[in-house]
Amino acid sequence: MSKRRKNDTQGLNRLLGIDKAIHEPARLMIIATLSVVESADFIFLMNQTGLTQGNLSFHLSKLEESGYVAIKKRFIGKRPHTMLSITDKGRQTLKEYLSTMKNLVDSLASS
Amino acid sequence: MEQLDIKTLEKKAFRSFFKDGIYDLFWGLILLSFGLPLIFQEFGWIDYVTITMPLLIPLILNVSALLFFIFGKKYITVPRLGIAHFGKTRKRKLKHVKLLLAVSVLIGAIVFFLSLFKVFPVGGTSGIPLPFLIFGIQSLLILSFIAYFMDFTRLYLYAFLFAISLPLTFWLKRNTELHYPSLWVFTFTTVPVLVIGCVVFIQFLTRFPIRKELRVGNEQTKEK
Repeated sequence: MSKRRKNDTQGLNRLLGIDKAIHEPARLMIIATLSVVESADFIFLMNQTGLTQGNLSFHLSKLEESGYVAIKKRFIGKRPHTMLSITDKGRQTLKEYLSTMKNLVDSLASS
Repeated sequence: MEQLDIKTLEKKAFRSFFKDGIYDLFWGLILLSFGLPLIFQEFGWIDYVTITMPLLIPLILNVSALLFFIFGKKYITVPRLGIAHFGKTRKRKLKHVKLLLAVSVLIGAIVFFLSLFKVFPVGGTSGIPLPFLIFGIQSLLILSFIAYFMDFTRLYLYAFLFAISLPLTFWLKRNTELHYPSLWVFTFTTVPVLVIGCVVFIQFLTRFPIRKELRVGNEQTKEK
């Protein structure tokens, strides 16, 4: 196998290791935003990501299911208020994802 | 590179809270509080010799600015922009800001009370009283540091306008025959801050409507 082809295969194999739960652009945006704050509420996240309420709510549910985001719900008066934060697992996954993507891009660029 | 992007993202998220114009209006009102007693005195509306009026006007305006800031953030900004708690680095920087503000108020109070007892001589050939020179230098330094710690770029401009306001007023009073120097100086320093604040505030109100959140989490997933 030539060196170039070997590099390509290694690069493509790394794609299989990518966590699909955060590879989706909207979810990546959510988790990246949560990684720079200790916690934030739903409205802050909506403004930062530019996602609609329904979209954000759906993606947050997916991230919660994966254990990457912690959701705390409470009521302020009669209004629901949701605080969100990234979990340790989520932070680790984001770090690994960024590292994998960087390596992948580097290996494809050098081949 | 990876670190840089995260830093940029954090900065962008933090700076989004300056989109409301409330900080600008707050600093504009504080600056106005220094100018109004002088302007009123020039027009003969207050007797500057008595201690109550020069103290009362800044006090009322400062308290109004503070109340506007607190209630504006609570009832105008938060329902539109939401809430975020930032990390340790940002909290440390905000502690620095609080400390600087406390030092600034303390220096201001000491200089003000010392000036009442006429402790300070008139400074050099410029004719600017020393308390006002101290005010200028202190404003420039403290507000610039606050701008740096908070990543609030517009505050550098306000620091400059604060710094020139009182010293320039007294320099004009002593060295020129300009009528109403306080009015001129404070119009050119305060109005830009308040106008920027109003424009940013109105833009904020039109761009960010009040939002109510949906239920999020697992029960939402089940519905879908």
